[in-house]
Amino acid sequence: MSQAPPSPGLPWRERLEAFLENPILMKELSAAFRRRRFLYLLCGLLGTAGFLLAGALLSADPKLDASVVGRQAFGAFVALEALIVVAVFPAFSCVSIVEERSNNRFDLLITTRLRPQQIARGKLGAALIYGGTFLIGTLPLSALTFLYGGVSVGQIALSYLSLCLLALIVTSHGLAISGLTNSAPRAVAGAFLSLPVTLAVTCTPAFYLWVGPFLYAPLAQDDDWLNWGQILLNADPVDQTLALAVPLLWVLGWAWLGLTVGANGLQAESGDRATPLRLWFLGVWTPFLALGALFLSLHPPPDDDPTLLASTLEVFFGAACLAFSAGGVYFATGRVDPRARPLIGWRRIVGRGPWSGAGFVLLVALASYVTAVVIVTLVPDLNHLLQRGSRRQPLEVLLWGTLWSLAFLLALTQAGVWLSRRFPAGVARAGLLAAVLTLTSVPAMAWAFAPPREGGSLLHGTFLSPVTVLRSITVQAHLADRRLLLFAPPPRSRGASARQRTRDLRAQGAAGVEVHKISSALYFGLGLFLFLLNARAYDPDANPEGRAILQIPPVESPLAPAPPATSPSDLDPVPSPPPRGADRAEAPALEPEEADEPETSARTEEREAELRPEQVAGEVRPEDPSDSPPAPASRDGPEPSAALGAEDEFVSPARDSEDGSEDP
Amino acid sequence: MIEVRGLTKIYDGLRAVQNLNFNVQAGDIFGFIGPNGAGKTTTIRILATLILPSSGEAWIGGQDVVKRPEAVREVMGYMPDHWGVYPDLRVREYLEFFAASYGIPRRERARAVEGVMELTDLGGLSDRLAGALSKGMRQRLCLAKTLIHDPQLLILDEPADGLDPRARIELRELLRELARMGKTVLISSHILTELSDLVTSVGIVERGELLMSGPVDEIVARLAGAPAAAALSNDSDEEIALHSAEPAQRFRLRTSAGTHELAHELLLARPDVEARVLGEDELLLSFPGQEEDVAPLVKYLAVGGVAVLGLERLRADLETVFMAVTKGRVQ
Repeated sequence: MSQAPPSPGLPWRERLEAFLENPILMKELSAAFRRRRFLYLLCGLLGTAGFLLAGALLSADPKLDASVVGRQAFGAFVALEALIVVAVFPAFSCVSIVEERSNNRFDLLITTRLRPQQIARGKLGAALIYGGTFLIGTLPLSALTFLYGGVSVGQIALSYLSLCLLALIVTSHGLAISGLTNSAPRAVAGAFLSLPVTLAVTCTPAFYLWVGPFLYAPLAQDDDWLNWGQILLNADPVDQTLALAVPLLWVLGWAWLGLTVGANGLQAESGDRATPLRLWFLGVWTPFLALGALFLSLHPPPDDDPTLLASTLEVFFGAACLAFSAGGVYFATGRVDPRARPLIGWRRIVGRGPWSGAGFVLLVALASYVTAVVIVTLVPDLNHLLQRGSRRQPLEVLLWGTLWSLAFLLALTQAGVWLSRRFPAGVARAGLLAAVLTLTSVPAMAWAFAPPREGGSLLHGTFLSPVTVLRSITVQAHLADRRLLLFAPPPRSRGASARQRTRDLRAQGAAGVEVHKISSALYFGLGLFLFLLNARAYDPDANPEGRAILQIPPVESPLAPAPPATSPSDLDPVPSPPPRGADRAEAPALEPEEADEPETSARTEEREAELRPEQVAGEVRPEDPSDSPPAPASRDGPEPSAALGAEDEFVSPARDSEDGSEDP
Repeated sequence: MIEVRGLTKIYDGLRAVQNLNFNVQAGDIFGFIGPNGAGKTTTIRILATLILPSSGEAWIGGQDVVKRPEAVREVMGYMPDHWGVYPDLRVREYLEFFAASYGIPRRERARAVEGVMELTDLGGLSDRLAGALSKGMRQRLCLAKTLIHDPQLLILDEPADGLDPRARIELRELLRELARMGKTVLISSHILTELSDLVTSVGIVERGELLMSGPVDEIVARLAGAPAAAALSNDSDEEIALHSAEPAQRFRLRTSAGTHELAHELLLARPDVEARVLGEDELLLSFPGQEEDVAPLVKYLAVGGVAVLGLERLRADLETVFMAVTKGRVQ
C-alpha cells in the first residue's frame, strides 16, 4: 500500500507506518462498525445460516451414515455462504465510491495527498473486512459438521479460501461499478445486473484452470481431481506452483482490474488513468501467457485426446488476445494526456496518447508472446512435444498464434487511432467493439449450426474471425479433411466415392492456403495501411495539424517573465519550484529538421510585446474577442496547450466529459 | 503564489472561462468576484487541480497545476462551494482522518488537530458527531480540515454561502486571522459585502472573462479618477476613464458656515482642481495630486479665509467598482 512518500528524515519505523497506514480503511471501518445496521445485518445473516444448517442436519435421513450427513450439510452450508457472499459483498463496495460523489466529499478527498489507488484499496479492504466478519462468524457453525465427521480441516480451509477469492472478485466488481457510475441506485443496479457476466468471466475459467492441471495428467487420473487437495500435496513443487499460480493469477488479475477501474473513478480530471491500466496489462497478461506456455510444455495433452491442445490454447491465448484487443481499443481511442511529453519519430509508438497507447499494447503483446515461445523452446520436455508427429507442433502453433495476434492487434489499434481522429472516443470504441463482436460471434454461430465436414467448406468471410483462425491454427495438420483452406478447388460432387473424395482433399491441401496464413497477411496489410495513413496525419511536416496533435512545444522565449517569486517558506515542504518550462526542458530533443531556428530580433520584439505586463493583470478586457491580445505562439504552430483548446478533435469537450465532473 | 495565463475552459461549446490572466502575490487575500455563472468555480476547480483547462496554464507556488497536481495539492488547501462531512465520524476523528490523508506523521497529528480546532474555535465540539453539527459549525470544520496541513495557499469557493450573519462575521474574522498568519487566500464570492475590508486584491469576472484584476487600492484609485458620471454608471465611457494616465482623486470638503462659496471661488481659480458644490458647506473636489499635495491645498484655502473643517478622500468600495466594471451579462 503505497502512500505518499513520507518526508525524508523520518525514522524507519514511522516510514513503515506511513507506508502501511491507510486512512481510508480506518475511516471506513470506524464509521461502518459504529452503525447499528452492521449489528442487525450480522445477526440476521448468522441467524439465517445457523437456522438453515441446523435444519439440514436435523432433517437428514437417520439411516444415512453420520459422516455422509456431515459432508452433505457442509456442502450445502458452503453453497449458502457462497450465495450470501455473492449477494452481500458487492452491495458493500458498489456504493463506496459513488457515495463520495453524491455526498459532495469527492473533491475534499482527492485534493489530499491520498492517491486514487490508495483510496480504492482502502475502500476494497474495508468492504472485505466488513463482509469478512460474517464469514468469520460462520466458522463456529461450520465446526458443527465435525460432530458428524466426514469433513476434514483441509476441506474447511480450502472452502474458506475459495469463499475469500469469490468475495474478492465480487467486491472488486462492485468497486469497479462504483467508480464508473455517478449515483447510488445506478451503482447498485449496475453491480448486480453485471455480476453474472463477471462471475462467468472470472470463476468459470478459474475453475477450469484450477482443475485443468489435474485433468491433463500426470497429477491425477480421471475423476481423482475431486481429491485435488491431497493430490496437490503429493505433487512436485513445479506442479504445485503451476496448479496454484495459474488460477490464482487469473482471479487476482481480475480483482486487480476491478480495483484499477475503481481507482480511475476516483481520479480528478487531470489524473493519469492510463498508467494503472498499463501496469495491469503488464502485470497480468505477460505472466499469464508465460505460465500457460510453461504449463503446456510440462504437461502436454495426452495423445488420445486431440482436442485438449486446442482447448488449452483457446483458454490461454484466446483470453490473452481478447484482453489485448480490448486494451488496444481502449488505449488507441484514449485522449491525449496533457502532461505527456511531445513524442517525435519512433517514440510515438511507446509513449502516451492515442497513437502511443496502441503501440504500448502491441509491445506488451509481442513481449508476452515471445516470452511464451521462448519458454516453450527452452523447457526440457520440448523433445517430447516435438516427437508428436501426429499433430501440429506446439511451437508452430505458438508462432502462428503470435504472428496472427500481432497482425490482428496492429489492424485493430490502428483502426482505433484512425477512428479516434474522426469521431468521439465513445463512438470509436463502440464501432470497434461491434466489429470485433461480429467477427467473433458470426462464425462461431455458423460453426455451431453447420460445422464444416470437409475441407474448403468455410463460410465466406469468416476467415477474418479470431474463432476461425484459432481453429485453423490448432487443427491437426495431418487431417486434411479438417484443415481450413482458402483458394482450394471445389470439392467433388456428393456422388463421388470415399476414396476419390479423400484424394480430392489431399489435392486441395496442396493447392489451397490455410486460413490463418491468409488472415494474418490480410490483417497485417490492413494494419500497415492504416499505420501509414495515421503516420501521415500525425507527421508535423506532412500535416500542419500534426504539431498541435503531438503537442510539440514552442521554444520558450527568454523574455518570458519568471514564475512568481516564492520564498522557500512558501513552498515548504515542497522542493523549490523549477523554473517555468522545466517540464518542457525534460522533453526529448527535437529532430534536427524540427528544431526551431534562432529567433530574430524582430521576433523577439514581437514576443516581448505579446508578453507585456499589462496583459497579465490589471487591464480591462476588450469586449470584442478579436481584440484580445494574441496568445504566445510558436513559429511553427500553435502553443501546445492553446492548441489543445483549438483542436477540439483531440481535447473536445465531449471527450472531456467522458471523465465526469464537467458542470461549469 | 498564483499565476494564471490564458486560462480557457470549454464545456460542450460553452466557454465557461476564456483567456484568464491574473497573478496573486504571496500574502494577498485575493477576492475572486463575479455574478453567478461567471466562471469563478470553474477557474477555482482548475486551480485546485480538479479539472483540466482546455487551454492556458496556471502555476501555484511555481508548480504547474496540470503537470504537477500532487505538488500543488501540498501547498494548497481547498474548500469547495459544496461539500459534505462524514456524519458517522466525530469532529476530532474527522480532522485526524484528514491529517492522515495529508501525510502528517502520527506523532504530529494530535498537535495539528488541536491547533486547527483552537483556531477555528471547535475545541468544545471535538466529540460531537460531524453529522450533528450546524451549518456554521460544519463550515468551520471544513475550514479546519483545509488548514490541517498548514498550507500556504487557501482556495475558498463561496465559503460564506448559506451562513447566517453571525457566522459570516465570525468567518470573516477567521480569515483575517489567517491573513495575519501570512497565508495567501483566494476567496470567491458574489456577495461583495463579504469581501469588503477583507481582500487586498481582486479579480472581477463576468461571462468567463476577467474584466479587471489587481490590488484593491489601485483599482479603486483608478476608478476614483474617473469623472463621477462615468465612474458610477454602466456607460462604456468608464473604460476610457479607467485608462486615464493621471487618475484624479476625489475629496469631500467640509467648511464652516458661510465659507463654502468662498472656497468654491478659490478652488475654481486653480487650474488643477475641479470643484462642485454638493450642498450646504460641502464641496466635491477632483484633484490629480498625490497625498502630499493635500496639505498645501488646505493651507491655500485657509490662507484665503476658508474655515476648513475637513477634507475627506472619497473611496469607491468594491460594490461601486463591481457595478462600474460589470455589465450584468449572464451566459
